[in-house]
Formats: sequence, C-alpha cells, structure tokens
Amino acid sequence: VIPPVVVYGGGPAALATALALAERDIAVDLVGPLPAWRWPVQEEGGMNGAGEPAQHLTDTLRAGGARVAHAPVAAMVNAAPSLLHWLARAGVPWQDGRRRLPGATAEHARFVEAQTARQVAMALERQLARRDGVRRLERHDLCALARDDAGAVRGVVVQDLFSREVVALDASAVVLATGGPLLGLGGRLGGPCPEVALAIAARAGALVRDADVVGASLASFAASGRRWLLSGALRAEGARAWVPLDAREARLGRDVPRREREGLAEDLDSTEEAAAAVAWRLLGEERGVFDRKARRNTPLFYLDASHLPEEHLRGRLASELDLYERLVRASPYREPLKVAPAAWGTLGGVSVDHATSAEGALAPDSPRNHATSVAGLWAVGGCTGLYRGGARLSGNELCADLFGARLAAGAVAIALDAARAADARATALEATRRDAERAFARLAEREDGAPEGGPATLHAEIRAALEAWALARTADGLREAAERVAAVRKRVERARAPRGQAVLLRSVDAMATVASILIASARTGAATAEGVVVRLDASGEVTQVGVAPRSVRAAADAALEPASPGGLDDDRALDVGDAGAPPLARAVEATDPVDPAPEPPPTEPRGRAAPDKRGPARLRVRVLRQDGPAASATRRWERFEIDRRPAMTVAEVLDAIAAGGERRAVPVAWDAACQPPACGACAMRVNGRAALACTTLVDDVSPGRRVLELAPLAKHPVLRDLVVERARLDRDVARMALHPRAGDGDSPAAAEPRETDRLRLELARCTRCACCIDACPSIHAEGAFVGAAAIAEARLADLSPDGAGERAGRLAALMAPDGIVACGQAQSCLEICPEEIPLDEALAAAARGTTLAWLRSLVGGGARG
Amino acid sequence: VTAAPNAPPRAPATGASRTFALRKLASLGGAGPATAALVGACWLHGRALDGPVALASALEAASRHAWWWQPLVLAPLALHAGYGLTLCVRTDYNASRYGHARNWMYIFQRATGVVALLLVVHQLYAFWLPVQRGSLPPALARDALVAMLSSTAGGVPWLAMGYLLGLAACALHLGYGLWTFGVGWGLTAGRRAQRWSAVACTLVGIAVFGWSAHTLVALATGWRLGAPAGAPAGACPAPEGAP
Repeated sequence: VIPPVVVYGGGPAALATALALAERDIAVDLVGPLPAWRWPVQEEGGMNGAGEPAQHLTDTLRAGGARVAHAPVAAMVNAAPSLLHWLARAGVPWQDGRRRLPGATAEHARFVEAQTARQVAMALERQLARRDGVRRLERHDLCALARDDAGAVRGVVVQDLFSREVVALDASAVVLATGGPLLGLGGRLGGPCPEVALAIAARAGALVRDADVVGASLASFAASGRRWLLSGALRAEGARAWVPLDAREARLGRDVPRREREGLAEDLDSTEEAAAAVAWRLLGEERGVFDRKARRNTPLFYLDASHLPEEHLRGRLASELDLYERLVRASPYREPLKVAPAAWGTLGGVSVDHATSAEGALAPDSPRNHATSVAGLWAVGGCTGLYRGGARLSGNELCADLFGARLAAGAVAIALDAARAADARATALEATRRDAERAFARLAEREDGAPEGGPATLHAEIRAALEAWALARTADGLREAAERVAAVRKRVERARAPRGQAVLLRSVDAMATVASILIASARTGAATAEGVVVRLDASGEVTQVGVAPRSVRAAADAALEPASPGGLDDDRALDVGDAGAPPLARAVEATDPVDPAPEPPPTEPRGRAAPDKRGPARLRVRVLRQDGPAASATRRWERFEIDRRPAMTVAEVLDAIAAGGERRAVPVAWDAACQPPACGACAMRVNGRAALACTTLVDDVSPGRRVLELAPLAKHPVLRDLVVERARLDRDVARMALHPRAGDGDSPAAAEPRETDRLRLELARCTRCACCIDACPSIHAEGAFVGAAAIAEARLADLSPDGAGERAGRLAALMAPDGIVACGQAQSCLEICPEEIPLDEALAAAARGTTLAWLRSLVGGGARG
Repeated sequence: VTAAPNAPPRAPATGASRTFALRKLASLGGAGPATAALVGACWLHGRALDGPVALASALEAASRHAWWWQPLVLAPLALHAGYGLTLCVRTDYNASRYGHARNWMYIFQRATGVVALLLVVHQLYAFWLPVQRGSLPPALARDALVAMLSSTAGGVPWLAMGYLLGLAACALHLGYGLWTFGVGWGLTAGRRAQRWSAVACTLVGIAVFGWSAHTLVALATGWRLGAPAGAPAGACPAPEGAP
C-alpha cells in the first residue's frame, strides 16, 4: 500500500493540490493548524485570465522583471482562461465584467467583489468535499520532516495543537502549500504560520528563493489595535490616492477642494511601486494628513472613492468597504478613506524546480515540476518562488496556486515510488517523531513565563524590525533591520512563553529564521537581478547565499555560487538605496500605521468609554472556559480585567487578555485566521449572542460598565475555551448541498460567466461561522435541523451554472428529517448573520422546491428536480 | 490521531422521508381542517345568537353529517396537535437573547397552540360530546352555552375570560400559522409575497377573533353589536339557577 501524500496548508493552493491528487486517486492527508479554507487568503481583488493571453503574459513579464521563470509563467498564463472557466463550473459566482488590477495594462481579472480568493477557496473546498481518499488532520501543526539516510523525505511529524500529542505520518511525498510567509508583517501570532513550514523545509536543506522581494499593499487602515489591509480592488475600480497640497491642511478630506489636492502614484500601476512611492512622499517629504488634535502631519493619505456611485461601490466592494465603515465609523462611500501603505510579507519562498522541453516550453509530465531541492518534498503556491516574478502582477497569485497545484500533483503522481523500503521509512519516521517530541518537551519547559518578552513581544519586534525597512528599503534601514533581527533571534532561544503557549515559541522561532533569510537575501539581492537563493543548516543559520540557479536540481547537486557564509556582513550587498537620504526607515518606524488611528468623524463619537481623569477605563470580562474536548467538568467562568479603549473589538479584548494575563493563567483559546471577516473562525457568544469577535465592537455590546461575557457557541462541541468543532457543519453543508463535480471539459452553461444575479453573490458570502445555527431555536439538539447555512449552500448550488446536475440529490437531502421541513421560520438566522445574507429567501426557495418535488413524487413517484 | 475523514456525501436513495411527509401533513392539517373546524365552530356558535332553535338546527345538521366530517377534521387536528406539542418540547427558546419579532412569534405560536388545544378539548368535553351522547339535547344547547359562559366565581366570569383568551390564542395561532404555512410550503417564496401574506394573515386572524369574540360576549353578557340601544339587556337571559 502506498502511503498517502501529505499536503500541508489550507488555502487555495493546498485545497487545489489535494483535489488534483484526489482526482488521480492518490490518497491525501490534508494537514494544517486550522480547518481547511479558513486560512487567511490574499488576492481578493481578482484573478487574471479573462483578457488576451499574450497581453497577460507581457504584463506578467514586465511586472516580474528579470526574476520571472519564463516557461512556467507562460504556461500558467495560457492555462488561466481554462482555470477561470473551471472555477465558474465549480461555483465561483464571478461578477459581470472585468477588472484592471494594479500593474496590468488591460482588464485581465475576473472578480467576486473584494473576496475573490475566499470564493475560490470555498469552491475548491466544495469540490474536495465530494472526493474520496482525503483525510483531514485539522489543528495539527508541522514539527519536522522525517528523512531517511539518503535525505529523502519519508513522512512528517505533526503535533495536535490541543492534546499536544506528537504524531508521525507516513508519506509517499510531502507537498508544502501554505501560502506566502507573512514574516509577521500582516499576520497574527496564533493563527496559521507559514513561516513554520518554510523554516522547517529550509533547515532540511530546501533552498529559499527571493525572500528579499517584499509584497506591499498600497492601502491599509488602523482600527481596533490592528492593521487591516485593503485589496487593490478599490484602486482598480477608480479610487484616487491624494494628499492635500498644503501639508498643514486642517479641513476634513471631503472638504478639501479638488484643485487643492495632489494625486499620488497616478502613473504607477504596480502595487509595490506605488506603495514605495507613496511611502517616500509621506515620509521623505513629510506630506500626509494633518492631525488637528496632535498638531502634526501624519503619514496617511486619502484613498478617495466618493466620486464613484455608491450603488456601484456597494455592488462590487461591499465586503471590504463595509468593514471599514464598521470599524472606523466613517463612510467610505461618501468621504475619502484615510489609509497608509504597508508591507505584508515576502513574495519569495521555497525554491522549486520546473522542467522544460527542448524548445524551452514547460514540460508538464516531469516529476521535477515544483520539486524542491530535497527529495520527496514538493511545494506549491505562495510559499514557493517559482512564479514569484509572475505573481508580482496583481491577480496572478490565484492562477499560480491552481496551475501549480495541478502541475505538482502530476509531478508527485509520476514520482510516487512504491518500492521505497517500508522499514527505512518507519525507522526515519519514528526517530524524527521522538526528536520532535523531545524538542517540544524542551519548549514546554519554557512555559509559564512572564508575558513580557514572550512570543507576542518577539513577534512585534520582528515585525517592527522588518517593517521599518520593507517599504523604504534604504541601506541604513537594512543594516538596522539585520541587527535587530539578529538580536531577536538570540532572545528567541531563551524566551519563555505563557502557560499552554509553547507552540508560539515555535512560531516566533520560525519567523525569526525566515526574517534572517530575508535579510541575507536582501543583502545579496541588490547585486543581482536574477534572484537570490539562501541555504540554511539544521540549526537555522544561513550558510550560503547565492544567485538563483536555473535548476533547483543543479543547485542541490552542485554547490551554490560562492557567497558570504553567514551572509549578514557582506558589504557588497549593502549598495542599495541612497545612503545620503534621510533616515527614512526610522521615520517609517516612528509612524507605524497601526498607531495613528484614523481620526473619528466629528459627527459620530467613536466610543462611550473614554478614559476619565482617574486613568484609563477598565473593562471587566467573563469567559466561559473548558480545558479540553472531553473535559466538560472543567467548565467554569473566569474573570479578567483589562484597559478599555474606544472602538475596541472583542478580538482585541482577547488579545489583551493573552498579552497581559497573569503569570499562572493559561491564555484563552479562540479561533482566528484571517484579517478581514472572511473566515468565520472567531464566531462565539458575546453577551449571549452569536457574533464574530473580529468585527464586534465592545462599545456596541457592553456600553458603560457592563461586563463583557464571552462563551463558546453552544450548539457545537467545545474543543477548548472558545474554540468549537465545526466539522459537523461542514459535513451537513456537503450533504445538503451536493455541488456538481467540475470537470475540465466544456460546459455550455459556464462557457461565459453569466450575468450573476444578486442572490447568488449574497449567498456565496457565507463563511460557515455557525452563528445562524447558534441562534436558531429549531436546533434544540444535534440532528434536529441542519440550519440555514447548509440550506443556503444548497440554494447556491442550485444557482450555479451546472447546478441542475445534482438537483435531485440535493432535493432528497433537503427532504431528510433534519432538512428544510424542520425549519420553524423564526428567522433568527436572518437577524444574526454577520454577512447579512438573505437566508429567508434561500429557505423559502428550498421549501418550494421540496414541496413541489414531494407532490410530484406522490403523483408520479420519485423526487425530481 | 484524531482525523476527520473526508467521506463524500451521498444523496439519499429515496425521495421524501416519512418524517417529511408527516410534517407536511401536520402542517396541512393545521392550515386546512383545523382552520375549517375553527371557522365552522364560529359559525355554529354564532347561530346561538339567533336563538335556541337556530342553534339546535345547526347542531342537528352537524350531528347528521358527523360521520364524514369528524374523521376529516379530528384526525388531522390530532396530528397537528401532536406534532405541535412535540415542537413545543423540542425547541431552544432563546428570545431573551434574540428578541426580534419573528422569534417572539415563533414562541407565541407554540404557546397559543397549547392554549388553543386546551380550548378545543374543553369545548369538546363540555359541549360537543354531551350533544353527541344525547345528554344535552340540541334544543337546550343554547341555554347551556349561555349558562356556561355567563357563570362567575367571586363575581368574576373566569370561564368567559378563559374562553376569550383561548379565542385570542386561536386567532393568533391561525393567522401566524397560515403565514408559516405559506412560507413552509413555498407558496410565498419572495419577500414581497411574504410581506403581503403577513398582512392578509393578520387580517384573517383579526376577523376570526372579532367574529368569535363577538359571539362569546353576546352569549355571556347579552350585549350584541348593532343591537338597538333600547333593547333589553337580557336578550340572552341566563337560565334559572345560574349564578
């Protein structure tokens, strides 16, 4: 029996890889620290492939510069139209029209509001749910790659994040598909950590490529103690970036006449270029938005969409703009957004190979495609550097994920070797498992530490060190970042963690390792346009830095080009930027966009908990806690007290509890994955009502001195504290909503993305947060009623282009005892849904469909669609 | 290792489940036969306002045809009631946390269902069964009805008040039940249709309550809508011996 292929990840790349392998009847273990598809995703603005392929390729090559690997990128561009078509058949509700994303010269992108990547991930999840042979190991994090004596990967060692059990998984191949390393810039400690996989792969000998190429977002806004990145969609729809001509302009943005505005980055399409240019203008020239209270200029600029029709914006960007409106309490439809450029992570990653034919085209039938420099290890998606040049064009990342997944699955299928010695694999696995167990035991000994200097502090310091340099990229900034990262790395080795949080030490260790890769890469990167690869030793130290080879295999077989051991002191790499320029990096750091929270509109107070003269207001919090899934006896209310800030979200409260917890207290466990409210993972009961922690404002639910009460959703099994197991919901959704299997062939219904009706788009917003289930009075016990989410999903499947294919099956499922007939029409789901989905319409349509089918069956026998 | 297997969903081989059919029939029983029974009862008791003979005549006609309408009404009503009681038990009452109007109506629907059931059982026991058994001759039915409704305890007409409450519950249950029937059967799928059906069902509920409450008040007190101001108060005199 051939062991399964282990796919590590949970976003579009991982789901697409698992699906492509399953389609080849290869058993898959899909492993990740969060349930699949709830991972954070990027590229919400759109997916390229709808335009002219030749122009798409030209734009891609232009955006990627010299670092583009031509053959795979050209193949990806050629495959993009069929990938879009396939996704349409898989249920992605593409909106009508196309979008010209930043960096493109034409409208290449299809889109779904500002949530394209999430819709793609959901479509892949629906397809995967219909496949045999995929085992999901959720809430398991990667500890090590098990390698045999020859260095080939024979399995992985993972750890159950709740029970802490360290488990060895036999694998015929391992595919890393974690998405791009965020380097702590945009990520949140405690969520999925792509750096862990990258650091483990690098320590196992995998080359890392182009780590110095930092991805930037033109616009981010600060609210509730966090930074929220905006996609490029708003700019693509016609929003203008500007600052007042007068640096001390005291009027509100909406009151500044057009002639007194100065446009920013109007001639720069690329997001990275625009972000860097705007950062220079704001910091180097001290332009920006004048803060009337502080009497100083802040490095923010206006992103103005108020000249666009509100209806148009709501139709295309509601998910993103409504979030801004909710958190900042200013209308992005009527006044300009106050935003700042931000760096969010590296576009580089594990270096992977590709095979070419004699003519130089991609050879799809080669086991070398997407293979890393370590035998038995493949990598796909944002964690690789293969398409990194190509991915620099906005809208290409999803193409790379899906195309790469298919290519890698084909490569793995070819490479699977049933003749590998089973005993050698078992030996390697068990030894690695024991090593990982010992390593974790050492980490666990460092628990019970004081919160200061712990993982949260170190994460913030890594972020600050890199962020200061990432946008402006001066020599001084790089030198300082290198020093700070080196200092943090030393502290990581002896840092202590709060009780139960040793895993976070592993995360910050990986972040620090990847940060040092980035620094080493950046120091050499300036000297070459071809790209840089970095090699680590087993302890995570950079041993070699060199020019990216044409073939990873060549690099694995032969030594890298001579470079600087250690890499950090190579002076030739420091010839970047203008040494005589003002210390911009320091300015960036001093004006961290997290800190200057946008000024509240004068008409609406931002909170009712302003600090009084006796000091900051305090917020009393009660949390219903439980130690484990089978530990209902440990259920108890615990009290916490934290400083209360205006416009504070519940997520911020939980972060504050974790950061300032008592020495002996185990931080409260809660699920969180994404930046925007796109994953639904953080749903919980807030003062008795189901709500998302990430967007629920404390001022709204606990005004004044009212205690904030947090409890897990009550109708799902509790895993720990506020974390619940929602696998049943996923199963119910899959059972009720049989989505047609999307094939590669042509489908007349999906040949052209049809005029998407509003209902379909709205239904597709469901994040399966389970709030509707918690609020439904008809669900008194397990199995009573599947809930509105599953019914809405069934309706969505009905409306998909190939929806008629499985309609009879869906009707039969909806007519089960826990189907639509169990709905009591209390419409609590409609009231509570965070996405404001018209669930009542879905329920009514399901009622009509099942009634007609039942009546027909009475007359003619058998339910028909 | 705790792993969630990815078992591909399989559609049930057959069409509607037995539960689906039973619930549909229970719902239909409420919207059809139970509504007909309520309207029929209103009509029957309303005949009492025209005098003992009119009521006796109506009762005799109803008894004559009881062989066909009783099973047609009582069996669905029993199914509807049984299903409703099951729902009362199997509900997560959460209006204290989710206090929107529909959720309160969801709870009222169950509560009014129980009250309506009590009213029906009492009326069957105290009025219809004696008529069927012959212990209450149709000619005396009106007097018995008046005596029952005008009886007091401690000067308070508890029974009439209970009946009034029961009729209100019946009307609310009917109105909201018709609305949920429309939604549950897919007759009113759109929001506009649901809005208009809510208006129509509210009017039906008000009409039924007005009709039945008028009959009740007239039987209990003798006051009658549209009666001449100078008409004797004892248009429906209490029988001898009544308190």
